Amino acid sequence: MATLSSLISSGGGGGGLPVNIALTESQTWVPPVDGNICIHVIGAGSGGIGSSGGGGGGAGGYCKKNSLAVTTSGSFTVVIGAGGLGSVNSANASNGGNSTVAGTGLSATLTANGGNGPVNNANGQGGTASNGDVNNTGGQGGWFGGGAVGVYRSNSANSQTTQRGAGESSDALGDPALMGYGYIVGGQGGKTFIGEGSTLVGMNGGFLAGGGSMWGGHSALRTWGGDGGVGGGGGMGYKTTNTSLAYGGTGGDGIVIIQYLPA
Amino acid sequence: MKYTIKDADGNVTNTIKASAEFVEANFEHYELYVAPTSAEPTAEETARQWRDIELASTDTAAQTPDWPNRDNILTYRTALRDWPSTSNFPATKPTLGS
Repeated sequence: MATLSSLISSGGGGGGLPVNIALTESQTWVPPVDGNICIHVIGAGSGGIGSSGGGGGGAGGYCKKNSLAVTTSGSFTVVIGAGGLGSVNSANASNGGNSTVAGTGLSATLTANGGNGPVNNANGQGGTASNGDVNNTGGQGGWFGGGAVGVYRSNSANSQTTQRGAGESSDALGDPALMGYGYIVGGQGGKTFIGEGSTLVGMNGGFLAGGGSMWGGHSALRTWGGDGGVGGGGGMGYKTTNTSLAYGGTGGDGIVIIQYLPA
Repeated sequence: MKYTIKDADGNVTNTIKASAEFVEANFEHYELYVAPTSAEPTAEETARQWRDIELASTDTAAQTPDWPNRDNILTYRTALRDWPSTSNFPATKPTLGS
């Protein structure tokens, strides 16, 4: 049976892809083997708004350290931000939590701030990032869904600028060819739906993508925005009347992904 | 588990996913985060929603003079509109006569 050390040294077990170590809860992380690592830090997405206006939640920031030499004697304090809750009845949605990495060999704390919750029926803004080689602001939420994590560029997925029903608005998709050492690729955003009925639940976002908004018509009793994927903003839950039963989607939790690089 | 991290003045600075041991070792001011529960719709809200759907579904009949059973439908719609102000609301729904 292959050991982690052998998988890392062979570049992922023959597939040519790196071994991704995903940290989804805060912890003290000790490198299992010596080597060079790439660190991806992603803040949590904010919640979406539940209202007759407003928008989706902002995505978490994206911070990347391209390469860092580590040994098994080093250690890192990893903090993982929690996704913000969606709001109800036009209240302000919760911000996403900040994710950080500090430790041996890092001169400053890698920081990916959480997305900002929609306030006063405005769209949620993406979280910022700092102290990495790459520091991208998360995507802004919009009427049609939560923002996506800016793994390619700042505010790369601004759902406000795309058409209704275009789930691509909250995507974090990228060329699969990019997925590999030093790169991560996200998934598809939740589609936007318009409906009638008792309880309408929006579509959740894929990895790093925003949740879709759910637009309820006059006969809709309750509407829920879709939840954001990891780091993505929550979608908006829209109702024309009785917004006490309109709920924004929850933002996705943050994450830290560590990739061992080829020697 | 999720924890709210605070500064010395009690202001929230972060919300994170962590074990109790990690939070205790790394932060001075914190508390376990408990998410609020969502409210279920009340009986009145559910009843009004049903009433609105019934009115919408009989709109065409009310506006079509030779619609079958139209007189009873008009009476039914009046009862639907009055229902929230009666003692029967929300327990006993109006019914459509035949």
